[in-house]
Amino acid sequence: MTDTVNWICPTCNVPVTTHFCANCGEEPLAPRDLTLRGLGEKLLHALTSIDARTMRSAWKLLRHPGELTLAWTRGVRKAYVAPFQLFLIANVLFFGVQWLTSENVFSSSLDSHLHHQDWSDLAQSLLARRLEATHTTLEQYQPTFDRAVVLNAKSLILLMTIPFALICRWHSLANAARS
Amino acid sequence: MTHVAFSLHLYTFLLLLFCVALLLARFSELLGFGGLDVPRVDNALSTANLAACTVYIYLASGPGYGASGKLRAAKAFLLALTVATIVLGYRFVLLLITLYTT
Repeated sequence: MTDTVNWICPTCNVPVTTHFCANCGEEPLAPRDLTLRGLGEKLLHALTSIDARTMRSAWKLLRHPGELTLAWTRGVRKAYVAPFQLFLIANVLFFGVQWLTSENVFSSSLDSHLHHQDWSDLAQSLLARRLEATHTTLEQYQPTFDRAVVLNAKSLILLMTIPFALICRWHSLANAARS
Repeated sequence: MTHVAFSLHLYTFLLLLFCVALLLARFSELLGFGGLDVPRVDNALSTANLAACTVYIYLASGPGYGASGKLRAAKAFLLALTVATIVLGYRFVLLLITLYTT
């Protein structure tokens, strides 16, 4: 990295003497960046590199449970990925593994709901009412449900974190009241 | 905010744990012991997941909440059971949401 360069930041439109613009973090455009080879290199880098912060955060989470949460609540932001971001990255990995193994951990098929779950009796009665209201048969409805439940399981996964956060809050308040 | 961050980190850990469990189930299937459709494999992996979750909560509650004392392990186990219940509850909520939106 060169420390003494003179260039105009295209984003802020101000002269800059350091390698990165102090306002926005922009760096000077190199002639190579506009070549096909330069674009190829950027693409390769984007596809193959794993952000060091992500790796550091994942390692901290697995090797020292709780310390990542503590660091985040203390205001350490630069070194680690935000909790929600890390959760999303884990989701992508999880969906990838589900796809590879052809398994669905959270979504159960309609048949499973109707015959293999603790709430099967309730599911059967709810479904019967639903089919009656929509004038549909089980055979027509089953594929629609099975497709939709997989999609819902992926898109609503964040819902699971809410009750646990509330329980932690309740537990923390109960402890504070006792002491 | 601490509770939300703690919860998000726990579920991130769980998703990574499920990744390992799914790959182990696949490996078990390839070795001829059967996959998640075999109750013995399913139960073994569920128990291992619950144990790993308990250990995570036990360890994380120290730095995260300053937990200590004799009851810490019991509380961690109860919270891990709560997590398992939430997973089951999520499946049930998915049934309701899917049923009434399709």
